[in-house]
Amino acid sequence: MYQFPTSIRAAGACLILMAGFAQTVHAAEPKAPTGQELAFDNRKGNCLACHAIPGDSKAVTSTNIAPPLISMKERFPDRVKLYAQLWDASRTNTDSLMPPFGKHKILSDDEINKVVDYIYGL
Amino acid sequence: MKQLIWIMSCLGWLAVSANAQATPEDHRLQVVNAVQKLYPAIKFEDYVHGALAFSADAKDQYDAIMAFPPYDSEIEKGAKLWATPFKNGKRYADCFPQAGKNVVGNYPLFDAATKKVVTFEMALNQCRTANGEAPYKHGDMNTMGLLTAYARTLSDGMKMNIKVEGQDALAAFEAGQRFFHQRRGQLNFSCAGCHINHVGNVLRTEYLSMAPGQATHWPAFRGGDYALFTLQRRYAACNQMVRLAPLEIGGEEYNNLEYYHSYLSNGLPLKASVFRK
Amino acid sequence: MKVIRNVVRMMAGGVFLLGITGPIVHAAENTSGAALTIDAAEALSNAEFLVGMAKSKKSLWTTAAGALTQAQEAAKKQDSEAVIRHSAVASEQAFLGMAQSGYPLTGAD
Repeated sequence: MYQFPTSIRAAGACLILMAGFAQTVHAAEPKAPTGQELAFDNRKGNCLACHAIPGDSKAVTSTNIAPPLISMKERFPDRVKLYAQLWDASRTNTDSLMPPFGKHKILSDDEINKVVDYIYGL
Repeated sequence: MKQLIWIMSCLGWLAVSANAQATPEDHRLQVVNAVQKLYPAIKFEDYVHGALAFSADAKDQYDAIMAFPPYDSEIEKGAKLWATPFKNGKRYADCFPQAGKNVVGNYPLFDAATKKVVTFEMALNQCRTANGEAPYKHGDMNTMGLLTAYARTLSDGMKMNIKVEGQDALAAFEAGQRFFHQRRGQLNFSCAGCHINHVGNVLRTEYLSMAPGQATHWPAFRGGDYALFTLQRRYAACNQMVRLAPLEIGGEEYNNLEYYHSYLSNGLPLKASVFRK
Repeated sequence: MKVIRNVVRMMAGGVFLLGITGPIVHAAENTSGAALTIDAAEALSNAEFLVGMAKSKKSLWTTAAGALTQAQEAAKKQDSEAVIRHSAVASEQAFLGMAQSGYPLTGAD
């Protein structure tokens, strides 16, 4: 008796959750920061906290925590693998410091793709 | 009922993992040795300077500020709090051995009777309540913070001497150890990820300090406005930065964390009310 | 495995919540003059429960807390669409925060 409305409510909540994510992604579009801006912004990608970017003169950092972002096409011939690295780096290295940008929704899918495009051009 | 079974199974699992673990001293030595291996030129006693140990320039700046600390008047306020008698005529000094000199290195200690970690701040509050005064809030820098800014200086030079004796104490230590190694917040960092696994690396522009020594220099006056930070206020700020809603300052999680964290500084000399960036 | 179990547990908690808070939501609406749609009110109460749960587990992310505050602000302005949007973020971030406690420890020896 009580089971039925409960499951409907649960399903409803799932739909609401999904609708929410879709809208979040769309809401990010009007201002549309570039991949480089997302990569540098310390509230977004903050790549420079851990990665040097020798190929971009605007990238100012003294970090030496993680590998510099150079020759990314050679290092990640498969773009999907680079995307996966941004999505959740701990999958390939349990002790990775890298925040799981996709898994934890630190960046939207659209934002990750922009960062990947920017990094891929380095 | 189901939840109870789950909790019990978790406890069982923790007990098993605890048995398999090295002793606190083995663990401390392992952490210290790893730093020494990586940075043989940095002396053990310099670990108290944390990130400054990696940068002569930053250390020079620190020394210059410490020669004439701009926040001296704040420590004076703390001294006044410390010296002012309670309504019953007793003082803080009456609550501690040696009138409160060279005691802080023993804190946090584990109280076998209550089976709880007791921080120095808790001991100060116990002194207050035992003498009929209301306790201070642990997170209130204008009372507890200032009081420790003076009281802890009475133990300057004392070496950290944390003891983990008995199963209950070990459980508290291990709870702190887990906290230190557990990923937290949306950014998914653990304390250990940076301060054990990446010691001496540079995060954008800042060196990552080594865990041993980190608990020795508190409270600190931080940044351009010399804001007063107790160690646990620093924990709260760290948690906030990794996007975890800070836990209660003076709560059991941070107390256990401070217990473990302080143990890692065993053998290193204390110094209170220092400057930090 | 443990993670999956935890997530399942949390989902169960969420479902349980939806079951128990349903009537409360309706009651609140009746007294406040149905300012929000039922979906919005349910989404908000679900988010409030999950954020409370994450907080009690010491696993609350600031992003979950922040999104809940935004949802509550939107509720004051009777903006059901925004309530649903922010509540969804708050609920998901709360879930993720709780699931995180099942992640392996870093540098575990």
